[in-house]
Amino acid sequence: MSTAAPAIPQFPISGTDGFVVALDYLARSADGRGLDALSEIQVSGQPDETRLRWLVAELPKRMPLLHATLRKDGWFGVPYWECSGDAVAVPIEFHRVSSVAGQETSVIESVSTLRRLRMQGRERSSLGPPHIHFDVVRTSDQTWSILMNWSHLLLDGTGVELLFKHMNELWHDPQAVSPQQPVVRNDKPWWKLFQESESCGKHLMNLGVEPFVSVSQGKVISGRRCCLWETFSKEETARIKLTLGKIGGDMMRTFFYAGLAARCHQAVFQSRGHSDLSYAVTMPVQQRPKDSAGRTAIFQNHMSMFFFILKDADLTDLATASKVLMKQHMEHLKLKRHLSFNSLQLLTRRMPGKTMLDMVRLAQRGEIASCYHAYTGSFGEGMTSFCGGDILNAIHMPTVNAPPGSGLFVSECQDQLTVTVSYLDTCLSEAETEMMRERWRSDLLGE
Amino acid sequence: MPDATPNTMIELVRETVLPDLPADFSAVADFFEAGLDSMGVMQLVMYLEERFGKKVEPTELSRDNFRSGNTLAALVNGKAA
Repeated sequence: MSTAAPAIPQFPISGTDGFVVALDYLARSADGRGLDALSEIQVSGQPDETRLRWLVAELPKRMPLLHATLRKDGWFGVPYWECSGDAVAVPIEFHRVSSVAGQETSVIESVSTLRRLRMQGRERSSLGPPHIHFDVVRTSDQTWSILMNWSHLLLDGTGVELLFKHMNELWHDPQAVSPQQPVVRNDKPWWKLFQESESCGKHLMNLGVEPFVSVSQGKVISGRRCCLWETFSKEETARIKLTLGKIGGDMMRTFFYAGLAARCHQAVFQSRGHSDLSYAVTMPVQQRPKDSAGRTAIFQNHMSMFFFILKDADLTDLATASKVLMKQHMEHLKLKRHLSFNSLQLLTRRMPGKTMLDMVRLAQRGEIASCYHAYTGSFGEGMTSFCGGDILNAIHMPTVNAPPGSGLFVSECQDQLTVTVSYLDTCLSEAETEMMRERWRSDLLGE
Repeated sequence: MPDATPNTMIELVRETVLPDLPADFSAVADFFEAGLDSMGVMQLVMYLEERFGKKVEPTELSRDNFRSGNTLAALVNGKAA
């Protein structure tokens, strides 16, 4: 028996969703494709097609947002979800790589080929379902991969991990109760939110005074969406932890990786002959609400954001960069900028995406930040199996819009660290991403 | 400055980052299991300096030091492992 949730005709977006809607609009205004991303789990054993098909049919019955459409009200263009669509199964396709024998009619050269294709996202004229799409690929006689293409409008990277985790839970227990999406409410009047937003607003305006750069140089550009990622072996990851341990304790990781993102971008700008530049790095911090039974929300974007400015001199090495970031972070906390940012998000979620973005970009000379960045920690909070097999690795491959045109992301799975650079090929060349890879190897492994 | 005992540390955590900490939370119980995250740790770093004059160094920013009332008190008193 499924635990079908009652349909809610209208569902408000979260504060963070407001900004994501704006970024999705920016991405679509460049080439018609939204802010989609790709996540992959590599699993041992063989996929069970029948049970996976049951799973993707079951999810929308329990989770109305999966078949909702993002609409805007007729007066001010304020976005909201309309949960009126049919609970049709989430699309899933089954493939095998050409070197593996089997019944699948779709035969692909390699998973990389499929990744490259799926990373391009799809053109969207409406913001309706499907918001996620699965591909299952048999990669050898002993391994398979599941790729989830997902729209950032509906969920974020942590939400993706929670969804995978819940799918695994349902795999083992079809009667398991699904988390219900809590409504992000706001009981404060607009003028109160406006007052509370002042500290963060001022900080963001001050960022615009710094001549920080991105690889898109503040321009709205389209391009082929690309991704270069490297998973370090367990031995290398242990070595990296030793290297980072000399700089600071394990709770410093968010600063290490934000510093790494800035330093990798610095390497590119140095190779282009620029020096004395500033870099604006964002650091998202998860703030996920729970439902009435204490289960963490899967859908919507739930983040507070910290904005840091790093100058060339702050980026001489990873230790210096991490310590500067920590110092700035303490200042943010003292001034309660994270709470101020939350108020700003709640205030601006009732603003059309284009207007919000125009204001941000006007204050920042066309830019948003020097790059996107996130450290998502251990995949699925340490989940070790997925739908009948052991997890071998899991990777997020976010796509980026321009500006900024690039992003550096770090995640962990099964004691293996993965560093990913996502970019548009019109903003970064392959040679430049290799340069970034050299920088991260040098910083993390001391090579 | 107040004394940095395991109990004052638990009270600090309850007052600043984990308001729902149970009344019988023991000196060895794990703050992370009770919901402490990296954001909460950074807030504690700020409060430790403000209220106990303890400036936490980057190398001291470890999960082990922030795990319980006992370990936090040891950190503030300069006796961290």
